Amino acid sequence: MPPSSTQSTRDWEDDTTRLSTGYADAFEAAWFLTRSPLWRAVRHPNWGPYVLGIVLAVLIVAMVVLGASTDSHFIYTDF
Amino acid sequence: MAAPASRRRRTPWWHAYATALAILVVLDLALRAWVPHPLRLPEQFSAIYLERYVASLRSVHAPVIVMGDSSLWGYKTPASDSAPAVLARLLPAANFVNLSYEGGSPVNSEVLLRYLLQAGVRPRLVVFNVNQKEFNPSDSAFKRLRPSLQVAAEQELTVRDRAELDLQNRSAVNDRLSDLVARLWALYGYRTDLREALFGTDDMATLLTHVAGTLSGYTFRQAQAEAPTAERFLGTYDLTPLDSSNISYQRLVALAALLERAHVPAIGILTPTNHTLLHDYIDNSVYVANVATAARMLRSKGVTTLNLDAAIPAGDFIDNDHLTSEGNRRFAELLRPTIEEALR
Repeated sequence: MPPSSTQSTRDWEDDTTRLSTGYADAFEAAWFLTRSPLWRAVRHPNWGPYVLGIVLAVLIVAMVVLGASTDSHFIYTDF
Repeated sequence: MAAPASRRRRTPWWHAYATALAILVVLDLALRAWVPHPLRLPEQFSAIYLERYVASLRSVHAPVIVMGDSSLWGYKTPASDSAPAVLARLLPAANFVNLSYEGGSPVNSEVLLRYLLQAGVRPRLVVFNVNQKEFNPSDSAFKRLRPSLQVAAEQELTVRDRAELDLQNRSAVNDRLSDLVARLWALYGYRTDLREALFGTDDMATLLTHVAGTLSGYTFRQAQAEAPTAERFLGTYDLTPLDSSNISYQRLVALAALLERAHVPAIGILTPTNHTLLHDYIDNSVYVANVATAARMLRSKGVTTLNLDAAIPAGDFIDNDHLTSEGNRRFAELLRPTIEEALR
């Protein structure tokens, strides 16, 4: 069983707008990862560190490529 | 007591970091080995991309360099339909290089040419466009460089450039740090280009916004609301008589003078403009005089000047100055004889 989902009421929320964060927060995502096949692969005594290395590299590349663009954008105000 | 056999075989934890580093290094080397050869510059491109592309042009024999704005770039048409791409098919012996981009202007062309010459590119011919709207101080490219050109050509920027132009302030620590990391780490340096290649737009968030807009009908409604009516271009063209007090015009003069000094043959195109759409704003004596002023100045500096301002019918335009694919083909046909003559 996963830990119970933490739901908080933020200052912009009320009874009708309150949103459930479900299991999307990092702590619970990490908990689920420990139950995933990836975790078993990472824990493998021989090639676990290599899998972890690949996962780290993919995460770094994804952070760069999937990040929001804030640079090199010309401002086309008159197109 | 002896450790269990499985414990002895365990791979050290630091192999994870070594593996990640090795993958990133290999990826970096692959990116550094890659040289762009685009049909035209992408919609978004980084300074590193421009630098690599320009460096590769040193080995191109007698390139015909096309510089200018979105009219020459081929706004809202496939790259293969843009006028320079059509010209490249019509004149296969000429090495056309389309360095025009959205948001180009005389200021951008002048700095870009300086950068090209300094980088050792020796054009056989330069073809550039002159768009009257870019002499308007309210135009976004009137005295502003494309950020990627500003970074790539930083060494070429003069004291006058820094005083006159609206340059991005890149002196903050995070900007300097970002530029430094971009130089050292190709993946980071090419991030804009990778996002453009993967998502066809600035980034994934923008792509998702486009998809959501298309699915919800928002994009269609917005396109309907922004249909190119004449009123939309009220104020796009400045009808003040052109003279040397206009910074954009000054830079056009500087561009022509630089071409003359460098003995580079050049063709200046007075950009085709939709006179039917813009009749109320530009069919008057001041606009005609401004077109004539630019043409006269270019000819006085030895630039072959083609006045195509009213040469293309309204049906071939998307809006005020951007052409349809058919319009681009017609544009290329109009340019062909003059370019052929210049290359003889």
